[in-house]
This record gives sequence, C-alpha cells and structure tokens, in this order.
Amino acid sequence: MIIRRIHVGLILIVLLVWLFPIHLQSIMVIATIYSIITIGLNILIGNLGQISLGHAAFYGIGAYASALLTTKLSFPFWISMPLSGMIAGGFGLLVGLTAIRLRLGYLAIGTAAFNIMFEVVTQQWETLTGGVGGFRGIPAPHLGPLAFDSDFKYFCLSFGVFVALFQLSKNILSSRIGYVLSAIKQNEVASSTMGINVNKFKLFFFTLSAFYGGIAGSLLAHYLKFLDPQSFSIVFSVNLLFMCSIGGSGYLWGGIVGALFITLFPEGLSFLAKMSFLPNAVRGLLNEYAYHLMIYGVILYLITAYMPQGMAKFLGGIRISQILKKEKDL
Amino acid sequence: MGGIYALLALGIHIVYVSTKMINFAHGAVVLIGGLVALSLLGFVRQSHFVILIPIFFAGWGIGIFFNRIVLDPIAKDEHGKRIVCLIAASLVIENLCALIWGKDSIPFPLLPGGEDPVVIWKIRISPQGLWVFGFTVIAVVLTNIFLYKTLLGKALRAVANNETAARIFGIRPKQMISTGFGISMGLAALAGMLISTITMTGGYIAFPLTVKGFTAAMIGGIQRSTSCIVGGLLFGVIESITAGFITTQYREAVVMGILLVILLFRPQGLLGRVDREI
Repeated sequence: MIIRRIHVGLILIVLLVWLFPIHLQSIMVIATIYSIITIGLNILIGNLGQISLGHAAFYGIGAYASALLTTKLSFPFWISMPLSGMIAGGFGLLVGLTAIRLRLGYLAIGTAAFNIMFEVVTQQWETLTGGVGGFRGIPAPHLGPLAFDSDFKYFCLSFGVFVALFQLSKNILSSRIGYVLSAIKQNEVASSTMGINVNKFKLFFFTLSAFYGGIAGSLLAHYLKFLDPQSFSIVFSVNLLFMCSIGGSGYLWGGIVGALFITLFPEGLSFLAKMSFLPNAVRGLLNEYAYHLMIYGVILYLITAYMPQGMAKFLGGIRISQILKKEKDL
Repeated sequence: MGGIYALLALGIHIVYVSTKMINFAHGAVVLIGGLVALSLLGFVRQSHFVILIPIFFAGWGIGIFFNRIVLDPIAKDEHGKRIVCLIAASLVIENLCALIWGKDSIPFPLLPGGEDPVVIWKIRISPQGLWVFGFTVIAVVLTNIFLYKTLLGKALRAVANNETAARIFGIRPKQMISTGFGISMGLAALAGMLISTITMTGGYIAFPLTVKGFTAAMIGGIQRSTSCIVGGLLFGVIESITAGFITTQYREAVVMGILLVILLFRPQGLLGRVDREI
C-alpha cells in the first residue's frame, strides 16, 4: 500500500488527541460521533435541499437498538453496531417514504413529528428503554483482550469508524450516484425529465443518512454506557441542523467543521469565563446555558444569511459536486 | 385544548397566505406575547382587556423588526435558508426570554370566569377554553374579512402570489410583506396571552408550540383559515380521545403518527388543495 499524505495526516490527528488532556479527549470522541451523523445529513440538506429535523430520532434509534442488542441478546459490539445502523436505516426508509413527498417546511415539521413520537415512546416505554430514568449497564466494546474503555482508546475506535464511513460516502459520491446528485442539485425538474428518478435518490440518501445516524448512536451508547431520552430530543435535531449550516451544507467536510465548532464552543466560552480580567457579571453570563444557545442562534443566523457557504469554504473544503472533477483530474 | 391549536394554526395560516412562507418563529412570538402580557398585567394591574391593544402593537413591532432584520437580507427563493434563519431567530428569542423571565413556567392570571368548568350540552368546558375559542372565532372572521374584502388584504395576497405582477399594479411588495408580518405577529402575541391563561407561560415552549400549530394546520390544510381551525380542533379531539380511551402517556406520539399517515396520503392536508407553489 502506498502511504499517502492523508494517512500521515490521520495518524497525526490521533497522536495529537493522545496529547490532549482527558477532558478534551472525551470532547473529541463526541465530536467524531457528531461528525458521523452530519456526513449523511449534510448531503441531504446541502444537495437535496431536504431539511430534516428528525435525525436525532435515528441517532436515538441506533443508540437504543445497540444497547438492547448487547444487553438483552448479548450480541458483540461488532455485530450490534452495523445492525443498529441498519435498523435506523429501516426506520429512515419508512419515514423517507413520507418525506420524499414533502418539501421544505412541510418536511421539517413531518420529520420533527417523527422525532417527537420517538421522544414520547422512549420516555414512556419503560420496560424497553428504561424511561426517563435512562438506560444503564451498556458494556464497553472490546476486541479480544483489548477493551475500548479509556477515552483515548474509544477515540481511536470512533475515529476509525468515522474515517471508514467518510471514505464510503466519498466513494458513493464519486460513483454514478454522485453525478445524479449534482444533476438533481442543479435542477430537479430537468433531471427528472432526463430519466432520473429523483424520489428514488432522495429516498436512498434519506435512508443512508439515517444509517449513519444509527451507527453514530451505537457508538454513543457504548461510549456513555448510559442513555437518556433527553439527549435525543428535537433540540438535538436543531443542533444537527446548526452543525450542517455553520460548517457549510454541501461540503463534505462541512458537517465535521460544524460538529467541532458546536462541541468546542461551550468549552471556549467556559474558558473565557475563567478569565479574571472580565467583570463578574459577564463571567456569570458566560456560564449560562441559555446564553450559549442565544449566541449559537446569532451565529447561525449570521452565517446562513451572510456566509451561505459556511465555514468550510474558508477552510478550503471541497464541494461535493467538485469531488467528481477532482477524481477525474487525478 | 383544540382552541389553542386552532389559534396557533390560524397564525401560521395568516403568515402563509400573506407571504407564502412558513413561520418557524411563530411559537417564539407567542411566547414573547404571553410574557410581555404577564409583565404588563403586573405593571398596570388592570383587567386583560385593557392590555389587548398594547400587546397587539408589541407583536406588530416585533413582526416588523423581524422582517427587517431577519428576512430582508435573504433572497426570496432561498426557502431552505429562510427556514434555518427563522429557527435561529426563534432560538435567540426563546433564550432571551429565558434569561429575562427565567427558565420555569410561570402561572398566568386567569381571565374572568375562573376555572370551574361550565356545562354546555353535557360537555364540560373551562371558561378559559371558551375565551380562547371565542377569540379564535372572532379572529377568523376578522382576518377573513381583512384578507378577502379589504383593499389592503387583497394587495397582501397579490404580493404573495406574484410579486412582479403586484409591483406592476403599483403595490409595494416590501411594505406589504412587512404589514402582513406585523399583523400576524400581533395576532400571535395576543394568542400568546390567551394561551398562557391555560397552559402557563415561560420556559422552552416556543419550538413545541410552532410544531403543534403547524401540525394542526397541516392536518386541516394550510391554505384556508377554516381548514386550519378544523385541523386544530381535530388535533385537540384526537388528543383527548387517545388520552381518554387508549393511553394518556402516548398521546402526543399518536397525534404525530396520525400526522405522518395523513402526510403520506394527503400531503396537502385533509381539506386542502394542491398548491404547486411550495
């Protein structure tokens, strides 16, 4: 195998995280998990213009499915993770059947409805999900004698899964499907007159993004070892939408930038709050969660309104529609 | 409860008719209306009817501000972007409210009549619910007269349908859109005051309110005010029937499931027409 620059880069990232303090390592784990969901969601939002507010539900389905499979049926993690991804994908297919008939606001509310449904069910079906009290006792994954129990080891695992899924979506996008996707993005009506079944592709990508959500959920479940219905509420769906918009929807890297931003931002603010030169009132405000959300809102608005390409463009990201071109040049 | 959903759906319908856009910040304005009304009531210590007009104009102001700051910079055809921006705005307002008024729900002074249910044809209704329902009916009649009978209302709909054509006929689109937003936000603020007499106000209720109102509007069909009202009432009825006969815990899940099924077979709503624009 030829060692490319990208491989060196990946190893460098892992080494860098190894040097991080424990607390920052756990944030990086969460950031990679979020990035996995946003890979799929970003294609959906950026290229197909489908705003989904239901992906927290797929994420949750993956998490609960994996938790149940490993605790109740004692499946190993390596089987339960892809299985939970597929279960989430199956639900994605069902919701997608409705979703492809809807557009924009209707779609957003339809998927939000699904998310609310999921939220209610997880809170009430106590025998299955543990209800509001949460689901406990999820085992840590292990490979032979190696158990992924520390933050750094788990980061290696989730980062590996992330790289694999990133490569998978990149491969999908540089195949024929990628051409179809850019055609649909250019003009939906025109591409359907050219014989492209637009709805089929929308359904495919909806399912794919749900699958990614499920995998991410499974990773989360085995990392936290505890699940709480609150973390899959509609608020998280809105957060996911933020990640995609802030990072730049339509860029493959966009969601990842957004995920990093969302996870590191509260850290940055609480770091600022420790600064002694700021007046006490400001420091108090910086610790307030409501205030964080307010700043998110303002940033999200400013970026969508005035920087529609998001941050990824400024960091030299490649548009999904440009991947094809790049592949040809190589 | 049906009355509340109907009122929320009506607000979303008005924005839709006058701007062909779905207002994802509706719940936020409803929330702010309730909270401002609460503070005003504490300040003037008068009956609710005295502050109706100030609340309406407060909402109007918020609407115009909204339109100017949030929506003007974004191009008309970028619907997706508008939705994201409105969600962002809703988040900002909600958290601003949480910072000012606190995060917990606050009980709201009741309208005259108290809480003891009144029996009408063997149905027990709380007087507060009757007020909401009465207000909804009045609001429907007034907005219908306004939108379909007055010149201003016709101009509003003209801009929503075809901006260029409206401009040719001498209507100023920007002014119209801002008026439409102002009126609907004013109504939303009033609705906020009425709704909070039943459900309390404050806390993180903005987004759930938007979703519920929109669900109600979608069950009925968003194009007509009457179908919105029907949708709202149906929402309330389904919710109480599920709570009464099947299960109270899964109430919301059942309603949302029904919405998804309706969307699968009739995306335009039960009574709606197919609208090719959106």
